[in-house]
Amino acid sequence: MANNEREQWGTKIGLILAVAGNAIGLGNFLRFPVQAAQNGGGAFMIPYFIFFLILGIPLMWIEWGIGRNGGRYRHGSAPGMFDVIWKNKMAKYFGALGLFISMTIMIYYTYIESWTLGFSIFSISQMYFGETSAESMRSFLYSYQGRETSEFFSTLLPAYGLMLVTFFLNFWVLYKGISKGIEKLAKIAMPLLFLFGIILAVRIITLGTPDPSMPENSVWNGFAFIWNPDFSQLNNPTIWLAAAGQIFFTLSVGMGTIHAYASYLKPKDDIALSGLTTSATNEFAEVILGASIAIPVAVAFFGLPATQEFARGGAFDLGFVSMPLIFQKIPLGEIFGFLWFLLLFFAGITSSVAMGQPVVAFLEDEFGMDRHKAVITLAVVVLIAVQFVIFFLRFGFLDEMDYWAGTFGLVVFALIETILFMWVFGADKAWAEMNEGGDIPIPKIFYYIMKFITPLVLFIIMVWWFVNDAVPILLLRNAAPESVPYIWGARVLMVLVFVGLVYMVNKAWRNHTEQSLHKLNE
Amino acid sequence: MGLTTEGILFLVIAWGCIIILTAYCFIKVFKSERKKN
Repeated sequence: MANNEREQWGTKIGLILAVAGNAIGLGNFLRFPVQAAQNGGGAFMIPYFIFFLILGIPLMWIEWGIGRNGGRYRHGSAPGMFDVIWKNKMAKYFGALGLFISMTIMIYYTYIESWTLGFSIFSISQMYFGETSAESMRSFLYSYQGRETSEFFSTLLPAYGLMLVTFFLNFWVLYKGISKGIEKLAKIAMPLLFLFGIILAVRIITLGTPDPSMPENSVWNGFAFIWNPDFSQLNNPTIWLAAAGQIFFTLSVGMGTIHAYASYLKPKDDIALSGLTTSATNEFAEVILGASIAIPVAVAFFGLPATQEFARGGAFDLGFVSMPLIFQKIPLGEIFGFLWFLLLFFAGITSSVAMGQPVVAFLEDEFGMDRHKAVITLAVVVLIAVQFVIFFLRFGFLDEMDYWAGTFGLVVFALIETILFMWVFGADKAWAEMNEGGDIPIPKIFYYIMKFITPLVLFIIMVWWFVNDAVPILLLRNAAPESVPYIWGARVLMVLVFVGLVYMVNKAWRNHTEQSLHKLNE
Repeated sequence: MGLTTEGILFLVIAWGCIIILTAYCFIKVFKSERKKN
């Protein structure tokens, strides 16, 4: 090992903000309100809160537990952590999936994050002001992304330049380390994110009915769209799976990032209260702020049918097309636009640095690299891989990576870790580990939830997604013919990344064995 | 359309639960930090 001492978090609140920053992402502000509105409004909150209790919070505690336990043995990433809890030579290879998921998501997420930085600049400089229809705003977005050419952007240079800025900021934070980099970022970005969110929510709520001649178009009808319950939809299993999926995505579980952060705790540090606080903070950002911004204001300015159209168009349509149109209609819109996109940028960067940490920790702990060398190594790989995402975006390259790593991979990894921790390591030992040093006792009912219900729910989600989404995507059923070679390219890239990581895990453990033999011979 | 009574109820309950949980957690965190210092 290069360092005798592992890094540590400076303060507990810094750690909580960092893990909350990891959880709070673009989805809190763009995905949640769309999901709620499309799946029964207020009634959606019934399965949502049930899954928060039986899936979200338990997985949080499981990941904090696995992470702190791994840190005790100087393992800051899933291969080493799984090797500790399962004495089997295959365990570390299952852990490689945790490295693969976080790294693959980081490759495309930093690019998406750079769009928010770009749009914050375009807002304050009023660059898109004058584009007053959804079509022209969409054209602005698409030409910026290089999906089409228009009078707005003739080359990818602005997007590429801002990607480099975002990329540099991410790796600079990682380079500075846990306490001086990630924790410091969280302590600055998270309070600002909440401040901007509250300013925007208050501004939107006080808009009332912007056009008195159209009383139907009001902020309150926007809230009604999200919150009025439609109980008839509760009979539909799709709603329950949508709620489970939302809880799963919003807490950023199943990617190996929480484990990495928790590995820098001391063995007797609390995880019960920290895990719960992280989950609660994420819910505050999602249910209170996320649901009070994009949808209510869209209904107030465009009416319900147009908002439903934006919601069907997906999170990006809502965030990057509908919101800029609205900012052009309100006084000081350039400032509110700047705050909105900067809020999304803060939500993004606190998540993306977390995605870099597992691989950095892996290189440090298993290969003895110093942090700076580990960060530069990861930066080079990510920079090479992101080129494909940028230049082949319009061919579905990013979507393919997002599905396999950022959607299906998460549930597979979460199921594996839950089974390993609660069944292979043993529920009693896992329970003791999670409660060790706790500032609050975890209620005993969660013992049974984590052991039986959480893995069962994860298994059902995995099978459902496999049958409904994974099979059609794998067989390219809805892919445009011109995109097929690029989709296969994305798959090849992902396979190369995964095989490369498996090879490195294998090499690290061979090195460990050789070092142990060498010590014995001495 | 407008917010119905049930809609208001769901909004108030959801927001209330989350605000109470978040406040409870942060008060506990700050208390435990103060105790350790």
